[in-house]
Amino acid sequence: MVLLVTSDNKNFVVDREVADRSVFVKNTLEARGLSIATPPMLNGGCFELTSPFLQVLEYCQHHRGEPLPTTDDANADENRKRTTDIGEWDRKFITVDHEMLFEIILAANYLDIKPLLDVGCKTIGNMVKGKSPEEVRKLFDIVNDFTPEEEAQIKKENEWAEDP
Amino acid sequence: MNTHNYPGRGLSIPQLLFALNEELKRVAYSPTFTLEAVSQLDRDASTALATIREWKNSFAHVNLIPSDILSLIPTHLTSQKDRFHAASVCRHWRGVLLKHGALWSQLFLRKGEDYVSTLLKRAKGSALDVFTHRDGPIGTLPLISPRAQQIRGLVFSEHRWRDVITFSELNSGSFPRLRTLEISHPPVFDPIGQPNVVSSPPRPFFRDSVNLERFVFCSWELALLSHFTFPNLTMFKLSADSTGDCSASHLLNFLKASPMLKTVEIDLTKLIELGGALEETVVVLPNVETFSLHVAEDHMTQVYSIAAHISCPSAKNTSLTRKIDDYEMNAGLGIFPDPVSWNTIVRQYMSSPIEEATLKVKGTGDEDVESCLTFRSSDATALRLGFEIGATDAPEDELFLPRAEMGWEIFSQALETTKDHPLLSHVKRLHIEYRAAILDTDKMVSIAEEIQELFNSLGPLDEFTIRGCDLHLFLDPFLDDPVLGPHSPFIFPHTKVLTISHPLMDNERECMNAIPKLAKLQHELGIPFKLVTVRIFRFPVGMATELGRWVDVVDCRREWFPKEDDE
Repeated sequence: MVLLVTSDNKNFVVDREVADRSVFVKNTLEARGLSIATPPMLNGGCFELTSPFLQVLEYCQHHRGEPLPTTDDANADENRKRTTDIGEWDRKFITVDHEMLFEIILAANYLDIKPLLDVGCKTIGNMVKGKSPEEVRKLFDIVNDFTPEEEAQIKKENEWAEDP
Repeated sequence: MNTHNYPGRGLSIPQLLFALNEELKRVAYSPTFTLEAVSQLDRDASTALATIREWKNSFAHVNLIPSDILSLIPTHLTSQKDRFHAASVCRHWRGVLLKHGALWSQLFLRKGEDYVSTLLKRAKGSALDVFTHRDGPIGTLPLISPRAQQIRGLVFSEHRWRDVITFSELNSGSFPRLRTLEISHPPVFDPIGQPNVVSSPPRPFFRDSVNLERFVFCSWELALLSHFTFPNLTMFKLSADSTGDCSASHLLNFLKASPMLKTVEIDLTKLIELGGALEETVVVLPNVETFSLHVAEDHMTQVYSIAAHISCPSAKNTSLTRKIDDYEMNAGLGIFPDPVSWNTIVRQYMSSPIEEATLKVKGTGDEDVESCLTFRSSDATALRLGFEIGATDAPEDELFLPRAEMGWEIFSQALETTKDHPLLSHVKRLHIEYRAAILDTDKMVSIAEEIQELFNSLGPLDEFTIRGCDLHLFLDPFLDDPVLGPHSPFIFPHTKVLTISHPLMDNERECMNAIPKLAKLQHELGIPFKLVTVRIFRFPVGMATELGRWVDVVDCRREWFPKEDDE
């Protein structure tokens, strides 16, 4: 078991297998030579994490035991990027408001949980897919900040975009 | 992250506004109050406004995501249109996306020189996927030429052969990173009406593409294959409508020169000439795991003749399929391989004993009729023989067989082929599915006899499944009043598990009552069923109980239109 402490001082005791979904946690525990399962070592691992931790933890619990992606598998990386398919459970899990979605992505990035980062990025990718720039701006509360000169260049590019 | 300061922008908002205000005053009170000065002020104001908005955007939640993560999002956008649109959302997104070279590595040459030069600049050293088209401006070639070493994928669509030749000589023919080459649908005539032919080039096309792994070639002339040699090819897909020189030797020679192939998909829509010289030729593809040969043909069982010239001893999945538009075959020609071809094919495509045989026929003749015989071996190797008849609008009297009879003719021939299978005695699992037109009595008698012959050829079975079939074919001798007339003794193979599934069995209740009688006979012969599973819409009263007297386990459940098994 591992005790994880968030930055707002909430404690979470989780199985090592769940904690190890995060490469950051796994590496840190291994580097410090912490014990895995004995209760006296509960206070061994301590991390400062932010509020979406509960969601991240739920994700890690659900996917515990699944093989972790290897860093040197370039093809697998490529494949993950090419597809926008998201599993049924992950899709429901990631159906949250924008603010939480971005928080989860940040947490996944910080904790180095690649599959969760992928799910987050794919979700945003799916939101953007098929939308015009104006629709994307509206979706994410962004304003058009291009100068007229930049707009002219972008207009030309979008003509390229229209032609298959 | 400092949300108030994008890289490269030195001024704070107050500084920006102050500078703008000063400029405004300077112009307003200047004696040189000119159009040019006001226009400049207009531009400055636009720039300032853009900068303020850019700063405002830095507070958007999505922009809290670090740039390296933001740049991952468009990698999930496969359409270039979406990537262009994403790069047009705001300055921050644009800056992030434009730095990510791999996002701009797809080049569609028909979009012109401006487009190509812009994307080449953005792609930087990334591997390029280039899509050419016959309408592609010729001016794009000099732009691509110096970057030929970066090309990873090359797709020619409706091209002219001279473009292929020109391209293949770029960078002196050296494409070290080229992994995928697709040449699709070259028209017989080019856009100005000239025959789109290729005279023998002095050197093979893309001769130094030694790392090419995937080659897709759609052409009307097989002879053109002789201009390509890729020793490290792992995937080859050919679609050929052979109106030109269509000797099979071109195909076989190409395969022979590609010993690393793992996947081969061949789709031929016309007859090709096998030629006497090929009689003894067998090209061995030692690494092929998936082999698919689909031949649309009218008069011959050519798919098996071609397959007999190829051997894939490591194949895990082999699919040999014939498709015809109308069932006009001469009566003497078979649908499936004759025993000689059959033995050859099994020897060349399956290395382990067959353990499972599946026979499926679907369709009524008003729609496509599909049938397949699938054999699986102990090491999960599968050999599938497919036969398809396309739906036809032809009048009934122009068809060789009435539509309703197409299904049973295929069924009959499939039984014949299965019976002739050289390793049938090893089969442990047999599945028969017939979802085609209902048979008349004469046909049923004929089919029932073939089924009996098949049973006689089989050894003991672990599983025997009957799906969708008229059960009279199997159970008629056990009826009180046989529909198919007097029978000689009907022997079922020794079977452990019998499964009967029929979605609309209600009109064959008498057959359901025959199942316990069959079970009783098997029991008396000392070869009882261990398990009988029945899935039908409605059960006769007492049938399951009676069945239970002769079988260890009975599993009877009501089911409406049971799901079909996957192949």
